[in-house]
Amino acid sequence: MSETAKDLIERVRSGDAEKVRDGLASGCEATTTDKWGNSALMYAAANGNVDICQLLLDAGADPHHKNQWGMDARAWSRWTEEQPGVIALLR
Amino acid sequence: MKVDGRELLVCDCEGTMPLDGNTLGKVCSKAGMKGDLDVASHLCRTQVDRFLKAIETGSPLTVACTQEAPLFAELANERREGADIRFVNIRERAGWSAEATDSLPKIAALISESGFEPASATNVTLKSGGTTLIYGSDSTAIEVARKLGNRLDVTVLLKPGSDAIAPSIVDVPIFQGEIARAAGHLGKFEIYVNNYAPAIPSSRGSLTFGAGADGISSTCDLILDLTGGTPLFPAPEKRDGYLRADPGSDAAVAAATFEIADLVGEFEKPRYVRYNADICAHSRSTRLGCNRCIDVCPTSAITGAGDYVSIDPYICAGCGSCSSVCPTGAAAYNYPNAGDLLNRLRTLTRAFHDAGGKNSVILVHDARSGQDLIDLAARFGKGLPAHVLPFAVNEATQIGLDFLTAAAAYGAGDIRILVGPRHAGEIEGLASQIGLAETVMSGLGYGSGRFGLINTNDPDQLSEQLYAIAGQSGAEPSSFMPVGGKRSLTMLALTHLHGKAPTPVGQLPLPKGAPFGNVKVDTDGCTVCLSCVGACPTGALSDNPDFPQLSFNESACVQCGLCKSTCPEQVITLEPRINFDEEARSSLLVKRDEPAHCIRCGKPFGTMAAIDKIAAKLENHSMFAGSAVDRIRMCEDCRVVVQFEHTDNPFAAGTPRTTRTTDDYLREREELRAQAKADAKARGLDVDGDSNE
Repeated sequence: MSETAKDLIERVRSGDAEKVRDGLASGCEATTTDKWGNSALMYAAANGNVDICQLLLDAGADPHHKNQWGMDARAWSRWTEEQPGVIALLR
Repeated sequence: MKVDGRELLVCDCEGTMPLDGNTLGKVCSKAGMKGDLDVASHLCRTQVDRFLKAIETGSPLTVACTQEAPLFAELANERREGADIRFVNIRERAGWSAEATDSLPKIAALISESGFEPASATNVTLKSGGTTLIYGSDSTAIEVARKLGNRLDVTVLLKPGSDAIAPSIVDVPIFQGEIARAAGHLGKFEIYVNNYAPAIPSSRGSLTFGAGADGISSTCDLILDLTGGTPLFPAPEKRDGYLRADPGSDAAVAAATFEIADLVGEFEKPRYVRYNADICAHSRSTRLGCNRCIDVCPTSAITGAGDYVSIDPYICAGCGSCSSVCPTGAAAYNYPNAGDLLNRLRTLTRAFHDAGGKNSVILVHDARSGQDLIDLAARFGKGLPAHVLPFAVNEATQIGLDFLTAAAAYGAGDIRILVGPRHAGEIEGLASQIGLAETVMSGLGYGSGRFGLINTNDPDQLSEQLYAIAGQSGAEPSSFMPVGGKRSLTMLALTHLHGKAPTPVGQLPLPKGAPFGNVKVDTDGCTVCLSCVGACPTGALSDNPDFPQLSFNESACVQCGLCKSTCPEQVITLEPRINFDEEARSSLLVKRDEPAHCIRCGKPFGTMAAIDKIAAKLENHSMFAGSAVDRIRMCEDCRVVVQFEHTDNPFAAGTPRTTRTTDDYLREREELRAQAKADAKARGLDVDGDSNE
């Protein structure tokens, strides 16, 4: 996993939309994934961070990207109470 | 004059106390009493009409005389049944003193204090049917048994090797045996006897016994121990129903015989201690935390019971040491409760202060031997100094940090606690509380030596030690109402003392074992596993149900150490101290971590720090070689799924075989038939049976 991908995913996991915005502005690729193929968007979906999901999608994240086990952001969003909001963005 | 709505009658006891009515009246007025005061000189005899007249009015009455209380009570009952009358001793406690003329503020304070009536405690009932074991080593036991035989159901147990002479008429059962263990209390003793054997009837000289049997158990209501040896119970004088006497002392034996003869029937005993298991810090998950109450209990009435302790109210003798040292208030003295006790102290100190008294010394004493000592000091010596305010409690050993700090906060310059030889071996807890209070006061700049024990049963020594106290001004008196548990009461007092301290400090270091302090967490090593939160009995450590987060509220921490002993990462240390900063009263974030998401399905299932740590520890393990270590980062479900899907592991079974049912078989058969028919047709064969036509 590249440093920029790790950096962006860490920003997403922190739940701080500003940090994510800054990361994207500083050149982090919204489509980058970790070593298991999990995208930043999937982590944002699992955390139910609708704002961050929107930021990543606006920056070009693939809403249908799947990890090595075939799971995508929609599947990951089932762990959050914000699932409806997240799924609405992923259509 | 009225005190708290009660008519007040004061007598100078035939002029033996220098009480001028006008002057005392003015002093009492400053302490909140109303009206004029006319001091009698012979209220119990020639001036008894004053008392009777006051009774006739029907108003509640306070009489400043305790010596003649029985007479006054009898007279009151004759005139008006159920008359509300209280008595207060101002003579031995104030008026009979070398400093009697300066004692008016104290007298006013004592009168004010008398208006306070604590709530009564609940009782337990001990029932004795009179079944008595007399345990001895010589003929004395048999003689005593024969004397008691008419009153009690007596059995004699003689220690092996005793030289008791066989009685000519065996009118009490006699056995040999050695008590290996005894338990219980009045009405419910259990004994376990070794070498147990009945006396042989043909014993000619000394009693002889048959072959002994071990491990025999029995029960009885009372035990009279005349062996003169080691007592069967710790703190034997506190065990109801267990009496001891040296067999060599006829007087002691006679006194014990006399006393035990009356121990038949039902006896009420206060439930001295109220126990609240919810805030007990004894243990969690078999790990021992606070053991203070068990350590100091002289009677072994307190025993561990899993995560909590059990206090046997039938064995508890009410010394109060447990409540003195209990950091949370789980074991709270209830005779009276702390709120009532401090309310009385507040009334006493306020009245003394309002009446013009200065540099007060609170002398805490028990209501029996302590009061006797004060009486003797007053009758035969100098009595109490004018600024020494005697404060009677049930047991001096019940005093804890809450009382000591509250007394200081209420303006007392010094606090002395009177104990005597009968408290030997029981003052460890009290001494620790005094040490703690000293540390606090000196740390805040109030100086040292404000708290101390007076350990004597000599009235002259008592006076000497009290007169030697120079008398120093206390903190500016607080008027806080003593409401809440022990810990909140202590914090109320400490906050006031800190606010008025000559040298206030933010944090005051305390010695190891003190019940206040910080929990220091090495956040780099903490994985936010929250084991400490589960172990913390007081809620000082807390989590957040929505996020992996550890918070700490210092004001609730009792330094029991359960968090430290539970922490799997061993990153917790205890820092005994009192933190006066405002932030110590709120829950502060110690560490917040991100949830670990399952790398397969995204389920949050732990904390990042914990999962990273486990993965790092196992990555070189043969079972987790290669990508297998990734399973550590998966939730419990995905771990299983991946395990089965993976081809390179012992559990791999490939794609499971599809289950076939009868329907499948029939369908396949029909399909095969249809195919065969089609093939036959393709070859021009008649498969429909048309050839028969």
